[in-house]
Amino acid sequence: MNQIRNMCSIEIKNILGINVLKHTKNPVERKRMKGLFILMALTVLIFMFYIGAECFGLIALGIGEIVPPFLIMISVVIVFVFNVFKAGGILFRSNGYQVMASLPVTTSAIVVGRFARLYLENLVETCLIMIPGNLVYAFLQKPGWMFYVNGLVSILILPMIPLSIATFLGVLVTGFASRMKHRAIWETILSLGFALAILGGISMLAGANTEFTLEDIKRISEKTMETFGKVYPPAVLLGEGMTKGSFLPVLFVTFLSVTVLAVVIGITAHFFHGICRKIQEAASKKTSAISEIGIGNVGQRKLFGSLLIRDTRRYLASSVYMSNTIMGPILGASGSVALLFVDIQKAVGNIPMHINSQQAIVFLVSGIFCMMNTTSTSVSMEGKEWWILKSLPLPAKMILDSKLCLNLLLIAPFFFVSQVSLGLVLKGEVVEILWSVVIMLLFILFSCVGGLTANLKFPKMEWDSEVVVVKQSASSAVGGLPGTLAALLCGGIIMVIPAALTHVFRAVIVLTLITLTSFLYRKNIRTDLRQI
Amino acid sequence: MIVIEHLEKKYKGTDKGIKDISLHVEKGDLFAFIGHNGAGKTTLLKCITGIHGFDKGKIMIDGTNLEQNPMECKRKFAYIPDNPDLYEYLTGMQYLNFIGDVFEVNAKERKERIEKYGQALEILSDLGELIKSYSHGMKQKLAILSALIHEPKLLILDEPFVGLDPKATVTLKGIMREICDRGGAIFFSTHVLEVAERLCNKVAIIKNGELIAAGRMDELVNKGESLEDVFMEVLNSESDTEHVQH
Repeated sequence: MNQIRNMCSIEIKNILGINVLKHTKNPVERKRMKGLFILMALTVLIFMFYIGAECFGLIALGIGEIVPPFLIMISVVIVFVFNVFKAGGILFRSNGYQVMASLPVTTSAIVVGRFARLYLENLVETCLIMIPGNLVYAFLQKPGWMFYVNGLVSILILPMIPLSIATFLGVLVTGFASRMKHRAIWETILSLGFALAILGGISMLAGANTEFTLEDIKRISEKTMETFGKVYPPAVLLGEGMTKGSFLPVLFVTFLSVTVLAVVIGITAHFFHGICRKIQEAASKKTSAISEIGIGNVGQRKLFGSLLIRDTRRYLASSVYMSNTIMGPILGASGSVALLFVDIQKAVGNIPMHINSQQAIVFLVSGIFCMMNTTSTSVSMEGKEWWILKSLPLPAKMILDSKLCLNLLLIAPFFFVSQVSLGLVLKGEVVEILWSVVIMLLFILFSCVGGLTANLKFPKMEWDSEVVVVKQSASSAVGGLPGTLAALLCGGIIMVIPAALTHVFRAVIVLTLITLTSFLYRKNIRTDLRQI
Repeated sequence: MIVIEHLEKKYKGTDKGIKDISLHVEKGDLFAFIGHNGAGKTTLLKCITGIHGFDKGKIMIDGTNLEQNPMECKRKFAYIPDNPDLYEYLTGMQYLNFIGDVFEVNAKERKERIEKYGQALEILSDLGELIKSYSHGMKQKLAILSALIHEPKLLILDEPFVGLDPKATVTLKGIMREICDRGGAIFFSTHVLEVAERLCNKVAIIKNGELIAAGRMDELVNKGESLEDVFMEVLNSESDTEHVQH
């Protein structure tokens, strides 16, 4: 028990960087971390307000009984999607493994400690969704005291099943990939594949329907619960437990959640050392002996090309980095392709106001592309190796241009697919297609340059796991946000302005983006990298 | 080769750093830089190599001002840190090619130098493997090899002998002498005083961020004394000794 307590304590100690903030004597770092916490608090408040408003809307529509299961479903999806990409990196991180393995600590204690960290992080995310939404429900619907008891229990057990499933998939992916030559690439493909398959499966089970009759709207509560029941039955059981005050379904789901979690922890512990060793050993496999490739593998490249190749290799060596940054372009491209099969005019036709839906689509897709850029964490990912670039005769401009170029090259194929699809959606109208290309390109450029600005402002060079940089750093949180929010806002505005003003509006947006992007780019290249 | 004048750097929020350091490293010098843990040795080396900025003073590398022309300065030296965190996702050869590209070393010269120094350091057969699989000593050797690939005039090293096997240590000493004989210079920090005493013609001692002794080895270390005796003496003395002009 002591061992488990010790391992849990060591894993949880520096969640969100709290321990560093507590002990650091560096005022610059202290200031940065305080800024990060304030930013996170603001984001949390906005998010909680949004969730509360959504629930208020559902209750106002007369379908308040779906609020608890609706919140549970959102929590489950978020926990699942986030952990598919992150669980493997936290559970099997190689940093510190050799020290840990040499200590008189049982494998189960190590694994339980790491699960405790994952559970706690996901519990916080769950609370952000469940608490504000259910508070609104409680205020308006005035349920009995069992609502609160069942609600509390539900919040505590909610992360367990999705975390277990995501972790189990993570174990499978990491275990399989650790035996392969290009481990990081396999991990990325498999993680993305599983995540997309499950999300796609959820959509299919939910049965996307763009046509809603009046009858459907009346029965929406029933249909929604039916869908939840097909996709994730515990959500319905917990929802019923909360709304009807019945403890039995909650007890059943509690038993199920704890059992599933315990089984997954057991399986992980069983394979833990084997997987960790494989990961450590995989690096020492001879990729090619010097006698085979011969010293003739010595080549000369242009400096920028060499930097770009180095950045590309860095990117491809990290499954966490890849999977967390390629999702945006994939969604953008697939969203654009999906639009070929949706009749937008029909979907918006029943809304009694004029909507420039086609012009709005370009902004909305641009917003998706802006979501996750590689530049937001590209400097932080240098980590302890940052001294190399700083000590070499490399201008800051070249170092940063290389990172920018990598991001743009990664997005390029998805941008092409998206543009071809949008071109067909826009029915080949030349002017609209040109606007589409220019606007999306500029948003992407703005997002990438802005991502670098965010990373230079909020670098995180000391880390023990890439997950901390890619998912939990300030720059990863804010890097893509301005571009995404700006695109979505512009999309919202262009939907409702008179058609005659759309060209003017888009011209203003283009000029603004060019100005802002240039300003941020010049700021970036003037950065004294010695200060980072 | 290196001229440092009244250099000061303080870490924000602390009293730690270096104060009023002035130092000259000339062509042909094998210059050791010694001090207790936390004295400021690595801080000084990082200021010289452009990794850290500094608050006051001037650093000239072979006549070029580091603040005004950092790129020009960085082309003249090679730096090897005490704990070489290298790109673990690259193979040794890929890393060497990257460094070679940065210094625009042509393929023929690159190949010759990799073969020459790779064989001397006995790391040639490991260059095809990922750096992630290297031991500390192998990373050190790779860092040394990468530093020599562009035949720098000035080598700046932080504890270069830590982690090296005895043969590689002898090889490195030989390379260092070779560079100095060619008109280059070496400036390195070390805790191994015997090596500094036998190898170097000049030494500087730093204590709590201040230079307390600097000059020719034969002038600082009297007959019958060892560098260790001198080091302990200056470290324990309450007042600073006079700076010895070289």
